[in-house]
Amino acid sequence: MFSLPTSELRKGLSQYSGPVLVYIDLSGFSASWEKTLAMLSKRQHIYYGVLDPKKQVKNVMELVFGGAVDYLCGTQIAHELGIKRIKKITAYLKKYRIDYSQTADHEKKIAAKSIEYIPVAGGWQDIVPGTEYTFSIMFVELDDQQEMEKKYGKKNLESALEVFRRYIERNSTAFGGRLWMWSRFGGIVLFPFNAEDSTAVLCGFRLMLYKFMHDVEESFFPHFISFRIALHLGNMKYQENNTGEVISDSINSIFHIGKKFAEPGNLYVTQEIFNYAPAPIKSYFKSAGTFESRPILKMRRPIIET
Amino acid sequence: MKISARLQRLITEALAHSLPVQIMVRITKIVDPDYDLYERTGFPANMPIPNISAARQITIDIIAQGLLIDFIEAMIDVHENGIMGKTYHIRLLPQIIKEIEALGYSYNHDEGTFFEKSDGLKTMNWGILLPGKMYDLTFMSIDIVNNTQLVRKYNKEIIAEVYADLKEFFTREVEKRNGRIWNWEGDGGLAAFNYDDKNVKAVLSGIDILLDLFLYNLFKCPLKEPLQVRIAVHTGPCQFSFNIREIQSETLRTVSELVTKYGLPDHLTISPSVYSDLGSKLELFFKPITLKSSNFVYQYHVEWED
Repeated sequence: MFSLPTSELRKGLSQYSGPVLVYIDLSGFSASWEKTLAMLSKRQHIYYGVLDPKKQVKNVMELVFGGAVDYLCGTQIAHELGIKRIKKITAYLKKYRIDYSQTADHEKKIAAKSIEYIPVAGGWQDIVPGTEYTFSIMFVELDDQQEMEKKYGKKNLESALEVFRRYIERNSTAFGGRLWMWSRFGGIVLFPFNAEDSTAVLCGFRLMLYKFMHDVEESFFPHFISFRIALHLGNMKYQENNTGEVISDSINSIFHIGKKFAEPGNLYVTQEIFNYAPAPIKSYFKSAGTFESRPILKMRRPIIET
Repeated sequence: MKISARLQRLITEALAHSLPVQIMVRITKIVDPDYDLYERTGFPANMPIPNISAARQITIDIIAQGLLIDFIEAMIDVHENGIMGKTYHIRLLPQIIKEIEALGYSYNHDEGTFFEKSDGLKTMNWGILLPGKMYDLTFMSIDIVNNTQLVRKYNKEIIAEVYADLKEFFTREVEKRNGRIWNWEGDGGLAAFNYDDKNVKAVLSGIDILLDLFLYNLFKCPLKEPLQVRIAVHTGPCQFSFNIREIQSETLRTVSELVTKYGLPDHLTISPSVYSDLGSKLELFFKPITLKSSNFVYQYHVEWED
C-alpha cells in the first residue's frame, strides 16, 4: 500500500524488476493522484489497483482504461481487500495482462533456463554428423555491404573479402572453431561446447581487440573495416554439408540477433553464452537490453585515439 | 659465412659471361663506393682489363670484405631493372641464389633482399650488417614500469616467470616482423628493424606487444597488479657492432630517452621521423604530444569505450 509522494513512490518501485502489483490509496495523494496514476500507467511491469476511501473518483471506467487493474472505494476496502482478492487479481494478470517476455524475471528465467545441453568433451573429433550437440555459435558479418559493392570492382572486392574470411577462419581455428557457413561478407562459425567454458567468446573478443591490426597489416580494403559479431550457445543437429537446409532454433536466433539487432562494428553475446565466458573478460561487457525475449550483452570496444 | 668454391666460381662466371668490365665495376661500387679495380688487379690504367680477370678479382674482393649478400642483391637488381639505361641478362643467377639459400638465407622478391631463414639461427645483423659500417635502422626500446618495486615485492621465482613471459612475447612479436633482439636485460630490452618498411614493422610490433600484455594481465599474470611497460620507437643512422656496449649512436640515445623521459605506462611513444612513415591508417592510432621543447612525440595506448 502506498500513500507516498510521487517521487518517493517512483524510487520505491524502481528497486523491483517486475512484475509488481501495487495498491494506491488516493486519500494520501491530495489533488496530485491523477498524475501519480498516469506515471504508473507508463511504467512497464507495474500494475496498480486504486483504493478510494473518500470516493474521489468520478468515473471508474476511465481509471480502468487508464490502466488500473482493481478499484475499491469506501467501506469495500476494509471488507474486500485481502489475500483472496489479491490472488484473484494476480491470476487475472498472469492470464491476460503480463507480457512475461518483457520482464526482467523472464530474462533471468531465460538465462537460467536449463536447455538440455549436449556437450562434447573431445571437440570436433567426437562430433558425428547428423547428431545433435551444443555449440557456441558465432555470427560474423561485414557492415556497409552495399557501399562496398558500389565502391570496388568485383575482382578487388572478392580478393578483399577472401582476406577477411581468412582472418576470421585463422582466429577461429585457434580457438577450436570451424567455419561452417560462409557467404561472401560473413558467415557462421561453430565451436563445440565442453560444458565448462566457451572459448568462442574469447575468440570474438580477440577479433575485436586485434581488428585494427588486421586493418593495417592484412586487410585489402583501403578503409577501416567494420563488422558485427553475435554469439549464442544452443543446440543443433550438426551437418557437414547442405548447411543451408539445417533447421535450428539456435541458428535462427543468432541470425536474427546478427541481422536485426546488432549495430555495426559491435560484438553481442546472449546471456546463455555469457554465462560461460571467461571471467576475466566479463567486465568488458554491458547490458544491451533484450531481443526476442533474450537478454543480450554488448562488448565495450577498444578504440583508437582519433 | 663460409663461401664454397662452387659459389665463388658461379659468381665469377656469371660476371665474366654477362657483363662488360665497366658494368662489373659499377655494380661493385654500389656496395663499395671506393673500389678501384686497376689498383686491385695491378693492371696499368691505360690497359683494358680482360673480363675473366676483372670477374675473378671482384669476386675475391667482395667475399673478403663480407659484401657478398649485398653484391648479389645488386646483381639481381641490375638483372631485373637494368643499369645506366641499359638492360643486362645475368646468367647463372638462379644457381647463385640457390647456393646463397643453402647458406641459410631466403630471397624476398618483393623487397629484393635476402633474409636469414625464419627457421634458422637469427643473428643480430641479419647475416649482412658489417661491424663499423653505418646503417639506417629502427629501434624499439621496452622498459618494465616499477621494476625495482616489483623485484622487492615478489619472490625471485615469480619475477623470473613474469619477465620470461614478457621476453617471450617481445621476441615473438619482433622476430615475426623480421626484427632482431639486440639486448635483453632484467628490466627491458632493445630490438632493431632493418629494410624498407622498418618503421611500420617496429610500430606494429610495439602495438602487438601492448595488446598481448593486456591479455596476459587478464589471464596469466601471477602478480597482484598488472605488469606494465613503456615502449618507444625511433629511427636513424647507427654504426653496427656485435657488441652493443661499443655502439656510440645518437639514434640509440634518443630511443632510450623517448622511453625513459616521455614514455608512459602501457603507451607506445614514437618520434616524428617514425610517425611520418606510418601511412594513413596506422597514423590514426597515435596522438601528438607537445614537449616542453615545442617538439612532438606521438603516443598510442589501448582505450576502451565506456
